[in-house]
Amino acid sequence: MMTAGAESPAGNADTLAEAQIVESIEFWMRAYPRRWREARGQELVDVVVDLAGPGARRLDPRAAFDLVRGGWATRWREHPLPHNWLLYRMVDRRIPVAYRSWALDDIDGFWYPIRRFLGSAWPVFAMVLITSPSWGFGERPVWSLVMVALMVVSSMFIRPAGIRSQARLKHVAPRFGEVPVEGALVPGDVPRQRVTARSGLTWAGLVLGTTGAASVVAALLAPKVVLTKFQLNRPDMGPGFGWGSVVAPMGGHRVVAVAILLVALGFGALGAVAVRRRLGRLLGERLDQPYRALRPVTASGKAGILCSAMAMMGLIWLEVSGQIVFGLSVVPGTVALLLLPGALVARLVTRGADAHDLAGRDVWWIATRGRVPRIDPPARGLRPQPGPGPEGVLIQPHGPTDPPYRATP
Amino acid sequence: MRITEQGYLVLLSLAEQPRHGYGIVGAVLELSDGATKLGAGTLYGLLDRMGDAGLVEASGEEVVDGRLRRYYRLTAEGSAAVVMETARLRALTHRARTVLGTRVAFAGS
Repeated sequence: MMTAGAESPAGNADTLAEAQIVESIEFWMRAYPRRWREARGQELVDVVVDLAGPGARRLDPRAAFDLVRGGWATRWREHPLPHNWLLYRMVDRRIPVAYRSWALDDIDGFWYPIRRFLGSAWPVFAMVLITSPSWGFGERPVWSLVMVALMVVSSMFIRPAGIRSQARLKHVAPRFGEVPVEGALVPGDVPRQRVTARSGLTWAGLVLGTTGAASVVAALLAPKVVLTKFQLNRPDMGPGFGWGSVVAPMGGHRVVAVAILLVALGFGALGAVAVRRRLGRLLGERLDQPYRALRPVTASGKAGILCSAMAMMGLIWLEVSGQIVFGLSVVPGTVALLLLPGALVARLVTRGADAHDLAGRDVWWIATRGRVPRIDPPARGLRPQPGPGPEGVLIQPHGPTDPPYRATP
Repeated sequence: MRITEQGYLVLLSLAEQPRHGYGIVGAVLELSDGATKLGAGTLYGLLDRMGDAGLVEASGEEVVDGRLRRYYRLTAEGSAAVVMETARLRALTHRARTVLGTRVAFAGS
C-alpha cells in the first residue's frame, strides 16, 4: 500500500531519488566480496541511504571512497595467507577452513576457470614461451603468445560447471570431524541444471548459422587449396607407396567445396523434417522432471559461443586472405549446416507456452533418438543444511558415493 | 585487537544500549562532540573486526520504514574491553595533567 507522501509529486520525487542513490551505492559496494554483500549488503545500503540524507540522488565522493576502501579492506582481511593461497591456486591444495567462504566466492566468480588454469598450468606456458623459437616460431614469436592466449581463453569454456562443482565439493564442503550446523553447505543431491530449450536453441542457431555462413563464404572466396597426390612406386622413392602435397589455386575445387556444404545443408533439411515429426509426436508425452532446474544459457556460455564464433571468423579470414590454404573451415561448416535446419525447426516448434519447461537436452534426445527423454537423476553438489545436525553427529569420513577424493581430518 | 579511537567510540556507543548502524554513527558523532563522523564503510569494517574479536555481536533486526535495522550489542569481552580502555585513557589523562600541570594552570588562568 502506498503512503500519502509517496502518492504526491514530492513523494514520487523522493522515491525516484532513493532508487537512484541505491543504484549508486550498489555500484560502489561491488568493492565488497560477494558473500559479504549477500549477507549484509541490504543493511549497508540502508545505512548509507540514511547517512546521505533525504533527496540525495548519488553518493558524494567521500562516501563513495569510504565504501570502496571498506570493501577492499574487507577483501584483504579475508584473503588467505600467501602460502595458503599459493598452494590452493597452484596445486589445488584444500583451502584451510577459515578461508572456506573466500573460496566459495572465488569458485563462483566469473573468471574462476581462467584463474585456476593459469595457476596450475603456468609451467606449461613458461615452457611454451621459452621453447617456442625451436618450433620455428622464432621469426614470429607472436604466434606462441597467440597460442598461449587461445589456451587460456579456451579454459573458460571446457567444463566450467563441472570444474566449479568439483571445486565446491573439495574446498567448501564440511570436512571429516566437523559438526554440521544449520545453513552450512553440505554435500547432497541437488537439482540438475539444464539449459532451457528456447535459450539453448536460440544460441545454437546463432553459432550454427554463423559457422555455416562463414564456411560458405570461405568456399566461395578462398584463393588457395592444398592438393595431395598419392602415387605407387614413385621414381624418386623406389617401390612402395608415397604422396606429395602442393598448394594450388582453388579452380574447380571450389565447386566441390560448395557442393559438400550444400549437400550437408540438404541432409540437414531432411533431418529437420524428421525432427519436426518427432517433436510433434513426443513433446506432449514427456515425463515430469522432479530433479531438474532449468536456466537460460549462462553468461560464460554466451561468452564461449561468441568466442567460438570469433575464432571461426578468424579462420575464415585467414583462408579468404590466402594466409592459409582453404580446407579447415569445411569441417565445422559441414557439421553446422547439417545441424542448422534441425535447430531452426526445433526453435519454431518450441515457441509455444507448453514448452516453457522444456530443456535443450530434451530436444536433442527426441531429435536424435526418437524417444521420450529419460528422467534426469539429481546431481551431486552442495546444499544448505536444513537444520542443526543431531547432537554429537560429525561429518563422516569418505564413503563410496562421496566425491572422488578423501576428506582430510 | 588494538582499539583505535574510532573503535573506542563505537564500543562506547554500544555500552549504553544496543544500536543499529545509523544509530551508532549518530552516537559516535555526539560522543566525539562532532569531531568523528563515521562513514558506512569505516563503521562496518570496525564492526567486522570487533565481531571477529568477540567484542560485539548482532542482537536482532527489524524493518523500520522499509529499512533493515540490524542491532549490535557489546559482549562480555566487549564490555570489559571498553572499561579497560577507559581506565587506560583515564590514567593517560592523569599523567598528561601531571606533565602539563603548570602549563594547564597557566592556560586556564
